[in-house]
Amino acid sequence: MQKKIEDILDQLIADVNEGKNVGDRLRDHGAYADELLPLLELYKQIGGLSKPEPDVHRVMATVRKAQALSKEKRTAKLFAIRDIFVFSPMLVRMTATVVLVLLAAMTTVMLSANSLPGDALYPVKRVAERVQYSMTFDAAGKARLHVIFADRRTKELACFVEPGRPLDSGLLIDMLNQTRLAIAHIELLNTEDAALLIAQVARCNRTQLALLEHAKQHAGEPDRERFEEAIRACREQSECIECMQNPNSSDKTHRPCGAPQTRAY
Amino acid sequence: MGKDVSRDELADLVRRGKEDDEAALERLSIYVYSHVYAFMYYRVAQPEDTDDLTSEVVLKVIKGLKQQRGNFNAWMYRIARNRLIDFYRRRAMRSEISLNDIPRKELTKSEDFSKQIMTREKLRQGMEQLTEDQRQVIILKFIEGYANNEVAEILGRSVGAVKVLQFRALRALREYFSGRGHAEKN
Repeated sequence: MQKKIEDILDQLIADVNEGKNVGDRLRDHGAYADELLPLLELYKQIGGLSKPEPDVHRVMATVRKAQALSKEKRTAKLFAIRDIFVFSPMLVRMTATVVLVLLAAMTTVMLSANSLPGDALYPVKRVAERVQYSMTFDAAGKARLHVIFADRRTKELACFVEPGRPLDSGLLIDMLNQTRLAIAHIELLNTEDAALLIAQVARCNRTQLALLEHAKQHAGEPDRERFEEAIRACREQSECIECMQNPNSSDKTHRPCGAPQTRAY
Repeated sequence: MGKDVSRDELADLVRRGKEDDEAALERLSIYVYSHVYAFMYYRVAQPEDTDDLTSEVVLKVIKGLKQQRGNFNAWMYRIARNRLIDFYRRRAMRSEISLNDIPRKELTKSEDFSKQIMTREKLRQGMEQLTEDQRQVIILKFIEGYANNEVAEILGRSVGAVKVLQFRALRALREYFSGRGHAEKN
């Protein structure tokens, strides 16, 4: 197959670059020789030209401009975040609003920590507890929260147990429910995780019993019955806790206390 | 690849330049200037225009370096080529004449062109007869010393196409210098 003239020319140019004598090769391509010779002559003339050299001063002036440009870009990058706020007042207002709302929410939650039923901030305290509970995903954490909430309800109830003051039965139910839920969750844990929580819920249960016994003595007739029921429930929970504390006990009458009977979070 | 900086050195300069290494940016600016200057030299008549255009291309390269991907030389010459097209377009609009109407300077023609002394100025005038791709092949291969595969990479063409462009460019120049009429354009 005959070689194309452009391939032959390219090969001859490569030979010229390597300093080879191309006369013989040209004769090999007799048909193209007359056309290729002047092209090679022209190539040699172009190749013989020196490369145009730029003026050094112009080169250095451009290099300085390029350096300044690069520096400007670096500075611009550093201040890019600041520029977002400088040139976007709307973003500043939005960010400030979000920060203020978050601060206000956090302050309100902190202030609500010591609130009691009937206070303006008490609903905030309960909502914060629900949020905290829903954000807890492990069994031990949930059990710990039930113990904490049961303890809080006990303290809140203690503030309301005064002679002549009507009983807040909702608070009483909440207190018992939290204790029951704490026991139910602790029963699901392994021994190591449960030991400390059992001790905490046992202490809470003893405090509840003492509080209820004291309240019953000063309560009026309708509330006295409610306190008696609550004391019975509390004693059942005590038995459950004792069983958990002594799992090898000979008393086989223990039944799981876990199933919650009233509403849970 | 240019004779002054190897392919690996250039890749290293580009990488460091992207990381804002000042020394690398300085060397890269000089590299771009020297290569683009030769490219511009044979494309514009006025030396001031050559320097101005080259300087603008260097700044564009430094400015856009972080966005550069792929073959650096191909990218650099693409910027140079676009800037040159823009230069001619604006100049044509200003003088309200089309590119084809720009009068070409004629050489004293000789039957035996090989006896003529080739100068850069004569070559520049001769290159006005060529197509855009033919001019780039002459500059990149004969002036800058790139190999066929490198020229092909820069132009985005095959090596075979580069050989064809090279042949046609030389034939067109020969016809121009020997006064045999207008060059063939592909």
